[in-house]
Amino acid sequence: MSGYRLASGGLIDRSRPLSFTFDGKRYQGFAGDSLASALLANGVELYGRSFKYHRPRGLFSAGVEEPNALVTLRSGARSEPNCKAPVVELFEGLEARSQNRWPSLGLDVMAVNGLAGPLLSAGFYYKTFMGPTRKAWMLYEHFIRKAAGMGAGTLLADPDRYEDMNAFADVLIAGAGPAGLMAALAAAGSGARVILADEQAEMGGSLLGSGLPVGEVGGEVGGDAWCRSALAVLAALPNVTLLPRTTVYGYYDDNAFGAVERVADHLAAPPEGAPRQRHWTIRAQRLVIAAGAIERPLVFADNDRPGVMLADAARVYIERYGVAPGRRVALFANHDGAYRTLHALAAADVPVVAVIDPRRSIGTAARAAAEAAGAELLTGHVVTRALGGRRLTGIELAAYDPDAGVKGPAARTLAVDCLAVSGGWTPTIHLASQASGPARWDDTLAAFLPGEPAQPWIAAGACNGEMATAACLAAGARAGAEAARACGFSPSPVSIPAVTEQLVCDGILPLWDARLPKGGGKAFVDLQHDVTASDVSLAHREGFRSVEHLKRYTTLGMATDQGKTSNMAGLALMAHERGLTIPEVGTTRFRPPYTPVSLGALAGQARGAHFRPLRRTPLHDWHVAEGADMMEVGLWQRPRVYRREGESVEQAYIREARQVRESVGIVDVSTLGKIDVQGPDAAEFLNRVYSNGFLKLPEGKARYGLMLREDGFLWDDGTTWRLGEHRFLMTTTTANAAPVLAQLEFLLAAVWPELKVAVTSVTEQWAAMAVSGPRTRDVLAAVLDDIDMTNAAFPFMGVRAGHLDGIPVIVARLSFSGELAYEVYCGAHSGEAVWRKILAAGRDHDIVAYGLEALGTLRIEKGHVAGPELDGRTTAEDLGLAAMTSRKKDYIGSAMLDREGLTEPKRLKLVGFVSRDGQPVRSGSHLVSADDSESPPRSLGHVTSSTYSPALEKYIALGLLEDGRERIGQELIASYPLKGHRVEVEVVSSHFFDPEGSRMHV
Amino acid sequence: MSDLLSPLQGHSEPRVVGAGQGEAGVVLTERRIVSLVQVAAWPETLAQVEDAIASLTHCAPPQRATGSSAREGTVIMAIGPGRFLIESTDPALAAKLAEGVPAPLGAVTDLSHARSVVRIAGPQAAWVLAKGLAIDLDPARFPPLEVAQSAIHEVGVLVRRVSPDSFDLYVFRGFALSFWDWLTEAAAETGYRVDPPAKV
Repeated sequence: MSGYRLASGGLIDRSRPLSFTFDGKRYQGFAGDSLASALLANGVELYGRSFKYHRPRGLFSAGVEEPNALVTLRSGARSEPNCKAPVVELFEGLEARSQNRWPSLGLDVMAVNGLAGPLLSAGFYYKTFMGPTRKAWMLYEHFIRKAAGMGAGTLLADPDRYEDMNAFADVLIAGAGPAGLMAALAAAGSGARVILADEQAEMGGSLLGSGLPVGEVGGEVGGDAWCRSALAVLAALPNVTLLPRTTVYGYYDDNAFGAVERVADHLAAPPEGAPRQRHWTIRAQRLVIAAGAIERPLVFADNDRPGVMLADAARVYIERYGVAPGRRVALFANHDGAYRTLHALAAADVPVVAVIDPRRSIGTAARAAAEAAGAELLTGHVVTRALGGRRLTGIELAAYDPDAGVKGPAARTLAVDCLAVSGGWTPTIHLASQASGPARWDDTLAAFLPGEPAQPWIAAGACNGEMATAACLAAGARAGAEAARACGFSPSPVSIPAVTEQLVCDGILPLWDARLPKGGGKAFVDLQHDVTASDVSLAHREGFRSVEHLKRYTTLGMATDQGKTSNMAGLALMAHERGLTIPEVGTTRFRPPYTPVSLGALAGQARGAHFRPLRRTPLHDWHVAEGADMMEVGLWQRPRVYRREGESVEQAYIREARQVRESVGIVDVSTLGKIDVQGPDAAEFLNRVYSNGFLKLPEGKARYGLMLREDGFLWDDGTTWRLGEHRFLMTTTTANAAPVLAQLEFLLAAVWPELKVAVTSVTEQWAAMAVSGPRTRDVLAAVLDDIDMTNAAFPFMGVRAGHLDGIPVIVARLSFSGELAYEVYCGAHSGEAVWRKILAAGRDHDIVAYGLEALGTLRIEKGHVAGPELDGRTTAEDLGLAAMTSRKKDYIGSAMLDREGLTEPKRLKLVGFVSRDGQPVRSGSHLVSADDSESPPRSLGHVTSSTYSPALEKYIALGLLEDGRERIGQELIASYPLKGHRVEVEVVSSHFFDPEGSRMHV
Repeated sequence: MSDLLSPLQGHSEPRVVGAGQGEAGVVLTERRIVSLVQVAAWPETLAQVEDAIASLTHCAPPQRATGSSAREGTVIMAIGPGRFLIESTDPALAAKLAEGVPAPLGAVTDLSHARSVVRIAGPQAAWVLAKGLAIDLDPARFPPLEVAQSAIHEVGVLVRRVSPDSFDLYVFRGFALSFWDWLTEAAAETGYRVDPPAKV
C-alpha cells in the first residue's frame, strides 16, 4: 500500500503540522490526523508483525476494530503497548514503536513461525503440553512466553493519575453518529437529562468528513455541517452532557454502565491535576444504543498482506484525513454499499483498477459508481489470493458461481498496491448482547441483530440493522423520543434532515470463503489472533463443533479486538462444515469491555497511599513524632514499638514491657470499639447479648463480658461500663467494632423491637489510653483534679468521671497487663493534651510509652485471650472461660452451647508453652509429639500467640492443644516446617505471671 | 480550648492550589464543630422529643426522612427513623439535651469530637464530589437542606447540601486526614482554595 497525502480534503488542519516518530524515524502529520492516517500519508506500509506467525501486517481499518496496526506508544513509565493506530490521535512529539518483531520490523527472526505453520495450528498448546508430554512445558515455557504476546508493558510506576466519576441521567446514548445525535436531540428537547458518549474525539460517526448531503445548514449541505450544528444545539442545553473520547464499555445490572473517558490520551502528558483517564459509572433509566456497525473482511489466501484494507476504511482515510490508501486500488466486495468507496477514490483521483464482485448482477447505482471511477467491473468473480510479501503487489482472480463456489484455477492476475475489501457489515451489538436474549439473525444483512432486551435499552441505527443514513436519523429520533417518554417526559417531534439517496449495504451475497479449492497460502479469519480458515476446519474435524468450543479451541475472537472483524466468518465457516445455517450454529455472547480498559482507569484514585483509607487515632501525630514503627491493624494505624536508636523491635518491646512491670507505662487504646448503649431497657439488652450477667452491674462499675455467636462459638469480648441507670459504655475488640454494632442494631430492629435501647458508635468520640504499672496511681493522682484514687474509694473495676487538669475524663480501673492499671477516656480532640499531661506527670516515675508488641507481651504473660485465640473456632470452655457462660439465663448463643461439637472432650484447649531451648516460638507452629516415630507427625494443636517474656526471661507462647490441660508438664515440639523451625516446648498453665492477680488489686 | 486538636491541624491551612491564574473551582474549609449531638426517640415518644429539641434549640426538626433544618447556629439533620443529628454553636448543647430528653423519652449521645466536617463550595463542588460520591447531586433531586449518608473512597460520609453549590461533609474523625487527602487530590483538576478553619 503506497499511501500518500492528497492535495486537499479531509478534516485535518494543514496549517498545524505535527512531528512524530515511528520506530525512531521522524515523520510529519497534521492536527486532526490519527497515527494511522499520518503513517499512511507518509507511505508507511508495514505496521507490525502478527501474533503467532509474525507475518508482516499493514493498516487494516480506521477504527477500534483494528487487528493489525497495534503499536507501543510513548516511552519509559508512560509506555503503553497494543494501542490501535487508527484511534490514536496524533500529537506533537508522539513516539510509537512497532511490536512483536526482533530485531526489526522489516527483518523479524520469528517469522520462521510462518514456515512452521502446521505446528502452530489450533490446539497446539493442548496437544503439545497435555498428557504424557506435559513436562515439556517446563522446558519450553521460557521460549514460548518470549515468543508469545503482543507488545510489552512497563514495570515502572504509572506517573499519571486516574479517577472515578459518578453520573446520573435519564437517557444515556452510546454512540454519536447520525442515530445517536438524532436521539440526543429528540430526548434533550423534552427536558430529560441526557448523556451522549462517543469513543472518538469528534462526534459524528459516519458523518465525519462525509460529503453526503444531510439537511441544509446555512447554505451548507454536507453531513459535517449538519453534525456541527446539531452538536452546537446540544452543547448549549444544560440538561445535556457531551462525553467525547468516552467508550461505554460495559452494561451492568440496574442500567448501570461503565465508561472510560480518555481525558489526556491525546496529549503527551496530562495537564497538572488532570487525570489521564476517567472512569465513569453512569446510572441511566434508559440506554439508547447507537453503536453503528463494523465492516467485515473476506477470506481468501494471504488476505493479510499489507495493502489489504477494509473498503470503508479506505473511504474514511480519503474523506476524513485527506490520505489516499494506494496508487493502484481494486475493490473486492459482495454488496452495493462498498461502492461508496469508489466515489471517494474517484473524487480524489486515485486510480481504481478493477471492481471484483461475486454477484452476477449489481445495483444500477453501484454499476454507475464503478464506471465513474473508470474501473473494470468483474462481476461473478472473486479474489482468491493476495500477492506480495511485505506489501501487496497484486491479486489473483477466479470466476465464482453462487451455487458452485470458486471455480479454479485462477483466471487472471492484476497488479495493485491496495485492495479494498468488504464482506458486508456486522452491527455492533456488543452492549446489547450484554443485556439481552440471544442475537437475532437477519438474512438481508447476513448478520446478527440485537436480541430481546433484558434491561431497558433501545437500539437505533446501523447497530440495529438500519444501514442508510436516512434510516439512522429517523431511528435515532424515534429511539430518543421513546427513551424520554419512558422516563416520564413528553418529547415533541423533531425535524429529521433530508438525506440524498446513498449506496447502502443492499443485495448482499454472503461470501465466506473465496479460497481456491486446492489453493495454498493462509486465509485468515481472525487477523489479530492468526486464526485461519483451516484452523476452523481442523477444529471441526477434531470435534470442537459448538461455537463456544470453536472459540476456545482456536482462540478465534478472543484477542483484544474481541473478534470485531472475525466472528461472522468464523461462525459461517463452522456452519458450512456442519452443513447448517449460521443462525442454527448460533453466536457467542459478548462480554464487557467492548474495547480494552486500562487497569489505571479501574483503580482510579485508589492507589499508593489511597489504596484504601487510613484511620488514625487522636494520638497519631504524637506516635509518629516519637518515631514509632506504625503498623496497620485493619484500617487503623497503630504504634508497634517506639524504638530507640540501635534497638531492634524485640529489644524495644522487651524494654517497654519490662518498664511497665517495674514502674509505669502508657499505651494508646483508642482503636477499641466503643458503643454507647442507652435506654430504659439497656441493662436487659446487655444481659441478652453477653453470656455473663449484666442486670445487676452497679452504676460506676465495669464488667468484662463475653459475646457468643448464635452457633455458640465465642465471638467477642470487652468491658462494659455502667455510667448511669440507663446508660452503658460498651467496648469491643478493635477488629469487631463495626460487626458488633451491626449485630446490636440488627437485634434491636428485628429480634427485640420492643426493647427501648439506642446503640451508637462512639469509637471516634473518645481518645483512650491505658496507664499501667506499680506507680500508676501516683502518676494519675498527680494530674486528676477530682477523683479519689485510693484503693478504697476507687476499687478494681470501678468507673469514675472527673477532670484531668481541667479536661473532662472518664477513668476506669481495668487491667489487661495484670498490673495496677486504669483506662483514661477523654474527648478525642483533647487526646493528645491528656496524653502529654500524663506523660509529664509520669516523668519522675520513669513512665514509658509502649506499643502493640509490649501490649501483647503483657497480656500473653497473663494468659489473657485476644484476636488470635478468638478465631471463630473456639468456645468459652476451650479458653478456660466456661464460668462466664451463664446457665441461668437465655442469651445469644446459649441455645447451642451444649451441642455435641462444642462439648466434645477432644476439643483443643488453651494452654501456655515455655521454650526449653531459648529459641522463640513461632505463632502458627504446629504442636507435635517429641517422639519422632510418625512422619509427618500428627498435629496436636497450634501456637496462637508468642512473645519473649521479660518477667519470666523466657520465650513463651499461648496455644490450643488437644487434651491441653491434661498435658501440662509434657514436652512437645512446636514445629514450623515452612521455615524449618523446631522448638522444644513445655506445656504449662496459660497464666504465666502472677496468677493470683496480686499486682492489680493493690 | 487550646487543648483541642483537630485531626486536620496543619493540613487545612489556607492556600490556593492548581488554579493557575484563574478562579479556584472549589473552596474547601474545615468547619470546626462546637457541639454535635445525636438524639434518638423511642417510636411512641417522637413527637415529645421533637418538641423538646425545638424548644431547646429554637429550631424545628426536619420532617423529611432525608431532610435537615437550620436556624441561627443550629442545624438538625434526620439520619434515621426517630434519629436526629444536631450541630450547634452552643457548647452546652449535649448537657441541655440530656436534661430535656431523659431516658423515658429517648437517648442523647455527644458526638462533638467524633466527626470532622469539611465544607466544599464553588461552581465545581458537585463535579469534585461526584468523583467519589455515588449519589445523584442534581439540584432537583438533592436540593439544599437534603442529607445523604453514603461513602466516598470507602469512608462513611454524611453529606448535607447547604446551598446549590456548597456541601458539608461529615466524616469519622479518624478518617478525616485520609479523606482530606483524597478530596484535595480530586479537587486538583479544577484548582482549589483552602479557607481558614471556621467555627461556623
